[in-house]
Amino acid sequence: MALLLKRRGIERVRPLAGGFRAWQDLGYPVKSLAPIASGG
Amino acid sequence: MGHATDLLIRYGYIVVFGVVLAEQIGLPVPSQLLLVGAGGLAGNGRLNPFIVLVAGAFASLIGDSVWYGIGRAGGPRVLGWICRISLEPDSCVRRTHGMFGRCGAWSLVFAKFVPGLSTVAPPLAGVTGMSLHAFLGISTIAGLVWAGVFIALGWLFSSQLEVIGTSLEGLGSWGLAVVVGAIVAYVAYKYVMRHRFMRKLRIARITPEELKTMLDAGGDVMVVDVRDRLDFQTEPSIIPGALHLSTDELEARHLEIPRERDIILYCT
Repeated sequence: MALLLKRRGIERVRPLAGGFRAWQDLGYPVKSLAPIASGG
Repeated sequence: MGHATDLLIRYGYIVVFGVVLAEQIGLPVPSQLLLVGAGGLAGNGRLNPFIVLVAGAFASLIGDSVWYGIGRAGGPRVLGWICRISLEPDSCVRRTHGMFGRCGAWSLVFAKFVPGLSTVAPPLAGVTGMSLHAFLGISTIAGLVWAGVFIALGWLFSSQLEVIGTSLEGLGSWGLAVVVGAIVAYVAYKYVMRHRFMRKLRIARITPEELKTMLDAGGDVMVVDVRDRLDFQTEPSIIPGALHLSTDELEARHLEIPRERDIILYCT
């Protein structure tokens, strides 16, 4: 993905070490985008 | 008749089987070229096209089954390892994962024709829990289609291939050296480019702790979630403030990413 972005002129790219899982493992905040189920 | 052609006619089916198997296991050998060559010889009546097809497809199935088994036993960690040794890191796990999300098990057929993806797709099928029954069925079709296309190309252009073969044989050992040298140079070039790119990414990598500190301090960074559709549906949450953008959407939405800011990418 970093290479694909670079080809489109986005050069200042840094990957997050360990990805989303590493972020979650440290207990850092996440924002849920799951659709909220409507109540009956 | 040249030595190489003579060898291919005499041991053609075994050579096709061995070279295709070697490539499917991950060695950088151009089995497609060999299949085209074997197809050309079949077109000239020197090899049986159906035996060539069965040899190529069977070798492909064995190689894919080994990778499927490794993926099934090793889980997601195997994919990371394959990506590290792949000559096509930019087209590795992410694109294969995306393709699985869109096309399901039939991705095994399409992936056969894309360098880099063909090695990653079978272990990904194992990681995602595809049943052995389904895998063997689709992988057999994939092997037959893949080998069949290249053999058919050779068959169609058999007379032109004969002319090329005769010219190369006319050059003698120098001709062979040029062809082998070109292949070695190509593999070496891909390896060096891959190594440089991976090194650059390793240097630029940011830890979650560093990112958290930057975000808390209101740093001028943009976080982009590049998980593919399958991963995102499994876990629909993001780092607060991040933009979700899958590989499929890159072409249409890349202008949403500012060029003047530091971009932090994260995947699964």
